[in-house]
Amino acid sequence: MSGAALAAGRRSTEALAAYARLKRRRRMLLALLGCAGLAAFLLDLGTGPASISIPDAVSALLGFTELSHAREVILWQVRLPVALMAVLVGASLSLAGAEMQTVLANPLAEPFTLGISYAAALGASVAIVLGIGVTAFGGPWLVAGNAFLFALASLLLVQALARFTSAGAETLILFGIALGFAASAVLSLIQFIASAEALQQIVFWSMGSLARADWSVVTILACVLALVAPFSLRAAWPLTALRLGEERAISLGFDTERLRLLALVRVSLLAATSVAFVGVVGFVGLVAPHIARMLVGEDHRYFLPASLLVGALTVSAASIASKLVVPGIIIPIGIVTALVGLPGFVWLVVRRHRRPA
Amino acid sequence: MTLPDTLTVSGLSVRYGRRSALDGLTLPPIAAGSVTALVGPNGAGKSTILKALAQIIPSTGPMRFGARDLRSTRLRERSSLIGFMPQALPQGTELTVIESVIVAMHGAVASDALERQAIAVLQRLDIVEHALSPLDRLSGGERQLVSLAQAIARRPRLLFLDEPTSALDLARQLQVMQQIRSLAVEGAAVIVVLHDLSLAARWADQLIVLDHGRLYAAGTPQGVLTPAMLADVYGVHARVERIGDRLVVLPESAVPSTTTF
Repeated sequence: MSGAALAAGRRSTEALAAYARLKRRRRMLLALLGCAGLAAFLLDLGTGPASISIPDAVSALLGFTELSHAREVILWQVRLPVALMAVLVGASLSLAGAEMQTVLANPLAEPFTLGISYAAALGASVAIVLGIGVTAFGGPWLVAGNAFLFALASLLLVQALARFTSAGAETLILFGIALGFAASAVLSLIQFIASAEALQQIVFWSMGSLARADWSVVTILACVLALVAPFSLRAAWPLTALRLGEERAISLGFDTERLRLLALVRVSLLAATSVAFVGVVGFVGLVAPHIARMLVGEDHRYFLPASLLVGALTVSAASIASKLVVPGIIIPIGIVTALVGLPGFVWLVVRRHRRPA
Repeated sequence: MTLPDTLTVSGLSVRYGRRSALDGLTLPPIAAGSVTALVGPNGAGKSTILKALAQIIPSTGPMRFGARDLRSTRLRERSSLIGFMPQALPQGTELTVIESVIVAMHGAVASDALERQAIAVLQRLDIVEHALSPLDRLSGGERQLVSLAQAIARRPRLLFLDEPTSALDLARQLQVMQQIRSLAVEGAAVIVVLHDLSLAARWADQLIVLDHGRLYAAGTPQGVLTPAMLADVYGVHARVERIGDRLVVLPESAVPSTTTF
C-alpha cells in the first residue's frame, strides 16, 4: 500500500473515532440534563412557604415517612402537581419549539409566534366574559376547554391558509402573526365590554401560572406529551434531513409537505394543551431549543430529547425562582420566564447577526 | 453485450403557477456511463430541468431510465436511484459534515455500515478532515463539496448536479470534474449544469444548449460550441480556439442589441 493510501486510511480511522467520541459526549450530556432536571424537580418540591424539606418530601412521596395532615395535603395537592406541571409544560413547549424551528426553517419560531397565545386568551375570555363555550367542557373546564379549542383552531387555520395558497414557511409565520393581531383586537374588544371582575380574571388567566395545576390537568398534559413525543422522535431522521434544505430532503425521498403538516399538528397539540391550562409561558419554546442545539448539535436523535430536557429543567428552575423572588408570594411563572427569557432572546438575535455569513 | 441503460425524457413541461417554465422539452438520450453538460444563459431553464428530472418540482411528460418508468417509481426507490445536488446550499445549520452525509445515506445503507461509508464518501472527495465541522463553519467551496458528497452518498445511477463547481477554486474544480468523470465510468448517467463552457467542453461527452426553456442544440462539444451559437444564445461575440485537444471559449464583446425600446 502506498504512503498516501496509508495516511488516508489513518485519517478515516481518526475521523470515525472522533465521531464516536462526539456521540458519547452527547449521550453523557443527555444523561446530565436528565439528572439536572430531576434535581430541579426535587428542589421545586422542597421550595415553598410551608417548610417541607427535600428529604422529607421524597420519603413521604415514597411512603417511608408520615407528615402532618396539613403538610401531606400541601405536598400531594399543591407541591407535587405544580412541580410536575412545570416539568410537563417545559418539556411540551420546548419540544414544540424545537420541531417548529426545524420545519419552518426559522430559528426565531416558537409555538407562540403563530399567534396561538392571543387565540387562547381570546378563547378564555369569551368563556369568562360571555360564558360561551363548547358544552362538552362544562363547569370548571369551560375556560381551559375554550382556550384549547381556540388555540388549536388558530394553528389549524394558519396551516390551512398556508396550504391553500401553497405558500412556504415564511408565509405561514406571517399568517400566524396576522391572526395573532386579529385575535388580539377581538380580545381588546371583549375586555372593553367586560365587567371589572371579568377583566381581572382575564388578566390573571393571561399570565402563565402553574397555580392552576391539579391532578386532572397534570394527567391530561402527561398524556398529550406521552402521545406526541414518540412521534416526534420517530421523525428525527426526516427532520434532520430538512435542516439540509427542502430540496435536499425531497431528493432523499422524504415527503416534506407531510412532514411539516404532521409536525405542526404535534406542535399545535402540545402548545394548545399547555396554554389552555397554564396560560402563556413565553420564551421557553424559543430559548430552550437553542440551548439544546448548542449542547448536542442538530442531529435530531439528540436534539429533540435534549430540547425536551432543557425545557423541563428551565421551567422547573423558573418555578423555584417564582417562589423565592418575593418571599411568601408565588409570582406567575410566565412573568419569570419572560424576564429571564428576554435577555436570552436578545442574545440569540445578536449572536445570529454576529456570525459571519 | 447489453447496451447501457439510457435516460429518455420527452415532452417535459413545468409550470410555476400560470407561467410555463418548460413546455414540451425533449432531451437527447443520456446514456449511463456518460457526462452531459447542460449549458445556457441565466434563466434558460437549466435548474428547472434538473429539479423536474429529480422530481423535486412537479412536471409532466414521460421519463424513463432503461426499462424503468421514473414517473411511477416509488419515492424510496427513486431516492436511491437519483442523486441530486441543488444549487442552494443549506444555511445556518449546526449539523456536522459527517451527520449530513449519514442522513443522506440513511435508509439506503445498513445502519451498522452508515458511519464507515459516510467517511468513505468524504475520503473520496478529500474532505474527511472536516468530518466533525458544523456545515456553517465551512467555506462556500467546502460546503459545495459536502453537498456533492450527500448527492453521491447512495451511489445513485442517475446524478443531477446543479453548478457543482461554481464556488470552487481551480484545483477543487479539477478534482470535482475528475470525480464526476469517474462516477460516470462506474456506471452513472450524469447531467451537470455548468456555466464555464471551456470546463464543459473538456469534461462532457455531450452538450445540451438551452435558450428560453427550449433546446437550442445538442451534440458533442466540438459540434455545438460555435461562435454562431454563442452570439445567438449568449449574445456574445466569442472565439472558440483549439489548444491541443481542448476547446477554449474566449468571449470578446457583446453582440449589439437589435431590440429597439
